[in-house]
Amino acid sequence: MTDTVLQVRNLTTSFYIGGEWHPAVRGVSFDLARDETLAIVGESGCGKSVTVMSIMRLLPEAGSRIEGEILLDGVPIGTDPEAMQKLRGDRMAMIFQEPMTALNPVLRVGFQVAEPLMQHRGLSREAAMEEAVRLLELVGIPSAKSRAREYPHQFSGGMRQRVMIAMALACEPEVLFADEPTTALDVTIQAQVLGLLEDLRHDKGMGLLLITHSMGVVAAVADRVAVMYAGAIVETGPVDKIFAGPVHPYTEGLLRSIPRPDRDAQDIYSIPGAVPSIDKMPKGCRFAPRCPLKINRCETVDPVLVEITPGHFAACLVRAGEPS
Amino acid sequence: MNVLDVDGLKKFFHTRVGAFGGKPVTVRAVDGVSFHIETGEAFGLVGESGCGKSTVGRAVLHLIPPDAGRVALHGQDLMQLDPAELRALRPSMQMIFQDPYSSLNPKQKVGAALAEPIRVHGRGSGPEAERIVADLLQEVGLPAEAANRYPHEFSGGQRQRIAIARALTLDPDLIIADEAVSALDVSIQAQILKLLSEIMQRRGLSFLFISHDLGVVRVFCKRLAVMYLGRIVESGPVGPVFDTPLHPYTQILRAASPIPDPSARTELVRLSGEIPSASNPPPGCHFHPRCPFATDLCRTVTPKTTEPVTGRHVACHLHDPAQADAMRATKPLAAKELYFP
Repeated sequence: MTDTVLQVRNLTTSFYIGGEWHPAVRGVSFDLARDETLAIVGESGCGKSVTVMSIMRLLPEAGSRIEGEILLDGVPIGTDPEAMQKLRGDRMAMIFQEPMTALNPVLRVGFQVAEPLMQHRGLSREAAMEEAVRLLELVGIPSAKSRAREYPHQFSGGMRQRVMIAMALACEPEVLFADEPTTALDVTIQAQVLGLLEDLRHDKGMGLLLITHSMGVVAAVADRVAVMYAGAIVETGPVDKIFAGPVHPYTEGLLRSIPRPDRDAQDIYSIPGAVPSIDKMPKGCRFAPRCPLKINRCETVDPVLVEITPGHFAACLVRAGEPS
Repeated sequence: MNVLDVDGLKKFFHTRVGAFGGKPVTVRAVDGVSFHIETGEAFGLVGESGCGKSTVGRAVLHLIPPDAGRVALHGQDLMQLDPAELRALRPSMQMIFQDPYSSLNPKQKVGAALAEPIRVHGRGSGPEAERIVADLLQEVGLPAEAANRYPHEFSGGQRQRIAIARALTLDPDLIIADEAVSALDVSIQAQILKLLSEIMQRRGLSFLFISHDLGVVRVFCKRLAVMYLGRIVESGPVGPVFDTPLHPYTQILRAASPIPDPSARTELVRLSGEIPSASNPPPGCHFHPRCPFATDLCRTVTPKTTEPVTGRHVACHLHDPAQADAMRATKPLAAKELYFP
């Protein structure tokens, strides 16, 4: 686990809303190793997508502010648009939830897969197209050669997602960001796509950062997990430890709320309340208003991540205490 | 007495595919579906996109007229009713949709949206309707002042509560919930499931609960049916069907459904194959191109529904004693690559 490819240090992303800056992501730090899957999990509005969009610099410049440091192979990545343009699709690539909106509907899929190769690798059109067919075969598209000449609308949802994966893999990136890659897919197709991502990550030794809202998906593929709530990581650690012994009350509540297909439900557990909106964040611990373990101190002190066992951190005054 | 009996329900859509007007295509969205729902029971209908589960829900309500079959509410055949009689029965069947954003009128205050059906069906007006609305809001866990606000002022979970309140306005016997909790975050989803369970118990309601999420169905429903390309392939009590699925499709569906437990992590199903389209379903058993046990027989003969275990029904030649000899005699199909119609 020493072979770190991506380091994120104190990432804070704020949006300008109603005349004030509000942080959507607050002080997020994590490492990602080669051949590792880190899952960032959380509910809508927790900042998981904004985290990745900030790293990839895909947020509109007006009205957003990104602070913190991102290191790729130990080297801080530039923040100017040109440097990012060189990195994106080359050393860092991304796949999105809805492939129909991420693919260009008027370009043949083969060309779309070939484009990054021409852009970043300087391949000729013919060579890039040939490579694109090979990539489409790699992601399991049958009769890739003829299908490369088709348009996105001629593909099913699962097949489109495969095309997007082929596009992202074209330049053999060191880090692959996958933002809810299977959320729009049926479960049998979801299993196929997750299996494919697993195999490719391992074969290419990529770092895979998987953004998801599904604890089931996390349990199926992740090595480590970071749970986000209201813009911050509240708990992170190896996947088996988090699931077997969640420390943060939010993680615990989230795990208990999941309806499971494999056992009879005794009672439906639910976390009371709702995620606070970005401009109405409570002081202190942001989960305190929904927390069954809340003590007075939680309303004033913002908890920081404390290491409980090696590699397992939680930010909770009651359960994890305060750093000494 | 059953609240709902559905027998041989069929709904076909006629459309044209291709350039220059295209060629006519019949989509057999629902192709002979039968099930019943007991009073006070939540019955789950599961399957993947395009399997016809939502069409079943709409055809049961006669939101779209079925092409064939029988739909009976409290034993009364809806197909035999004239429009006025059907309208008189409408209050006893209500629907909750997946997306409360699009099923609520954005320009109508919540109170007005809830009072409208009460007024239209002559269940009350003025202060009386207001009192019913206030009670309903309380029942679904919303403050009384919610009546004076517009749908956009609420979060997704609260909007789904409004949709539930509206479904309850006319005191129905049966609620058809089509992916009612699918768009919600887990913590909110659990709150809504809890609310629905409480309402079901308190009012003795019955549910047709349409969902793609096996976990949600296991929590909420007592029995379920699994659909594949317009047909029910397996039905029975939720626990046994999920723990020991009989139909190969149910087995695959169950194995592919993620379990939030890394210690139960298994090899991901690398099942190949797409879901074929209902406009051109494979012959014989619709599932045979993706089935690991398929034989020549499955390719030609549609399986009959049998009851190998009491209360459990399955449509698969593997479980049909009458086909046991024929299954042994035909050769298994070779492992198949992706299916393209």
